[in-house]
Amino acid sequence: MKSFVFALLMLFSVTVFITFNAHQTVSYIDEMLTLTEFLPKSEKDFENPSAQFALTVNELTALWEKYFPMISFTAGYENTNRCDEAICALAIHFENENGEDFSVALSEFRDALGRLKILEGFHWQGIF
Amino acid sequence: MAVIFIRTILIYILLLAVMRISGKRQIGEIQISELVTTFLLSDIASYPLTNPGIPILNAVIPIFTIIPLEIIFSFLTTKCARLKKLLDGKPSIVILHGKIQKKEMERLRLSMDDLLCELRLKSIASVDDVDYAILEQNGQISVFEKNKAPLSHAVIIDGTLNTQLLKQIGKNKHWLQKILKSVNIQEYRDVFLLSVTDDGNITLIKQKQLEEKKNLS
Repeated sequence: MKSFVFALLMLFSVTVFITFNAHQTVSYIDEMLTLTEFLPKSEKDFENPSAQFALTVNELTALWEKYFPMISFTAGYENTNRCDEAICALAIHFENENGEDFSVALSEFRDALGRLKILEGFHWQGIF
Repeated sequence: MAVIFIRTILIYILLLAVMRISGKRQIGEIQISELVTTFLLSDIASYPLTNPGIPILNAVIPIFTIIPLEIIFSFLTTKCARLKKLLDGKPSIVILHGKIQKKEMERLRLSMDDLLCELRLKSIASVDDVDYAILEQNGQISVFEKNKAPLSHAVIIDGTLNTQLLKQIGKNKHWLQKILKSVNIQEYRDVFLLSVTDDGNITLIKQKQLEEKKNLS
């Protein structure tokens, strides 16, 4: 009976940890996805770049640096590498004011984040 | 390299601990569910050891999920005979009073060679010398020779009647109820163990007797 109760407690602890972790990871991803909404969308936006764009890019890269260890702690480097490469490209193309490549990197970053969200959240697509 | 070294130590300690929690049967008589658990654990544990890109949590979480499930299921199977039968199967008689039960062997996909091999391993020369051969749930074959102590058949275990076994030993429910009435037992659930040997000796342990023994100890 003792081991049965212990097993139930263990399973409960694992479930709580997983739920909490999934919720945290999804909230990190959502926060970054929201920030990407305020980034330049096309080459036209680079013609008259606002100072806010630079701040947003810096904020986004800082957030990714902060959350990367936590997300890869559960998702693994293999699944976070695509995001990592995309945000590096995004920052470089923003510095170089290369609007076309920036847009591609942004799309890739958003797509990679979306996939991470499916993988780490309680999502049917992620399970199967 | 240091990561793999530390991970190996961690996983080894974790596996030792969880195998200890899961019980002694894990290393001895393995049931189907335990076999599945053992295969899964060994496979899951090895992934983060060989690939540093995979987080160690990918092994820890499945281990901490499988072991409680294994304990919960093994606890439930001790409480529910139907669940035990469903998960672990039931023992099958393959030789009954020296006669090979061909249909049962076909059902179990047990060849005559395998059976003879098991008999030879137990130093039994001929099928004729065997009174009973039973294929147990853990895959081992128990053999009872003729002219030795008669085999005991557990008809009731922890309040659950094995009607199939009762039929096999040539008894019926009326006979059983007569026995129970003679010792003032109304229901099967009041019996912990009722076994009958081939020569008719009956062993009966009431649930109350066990409780009394528990209280005394």
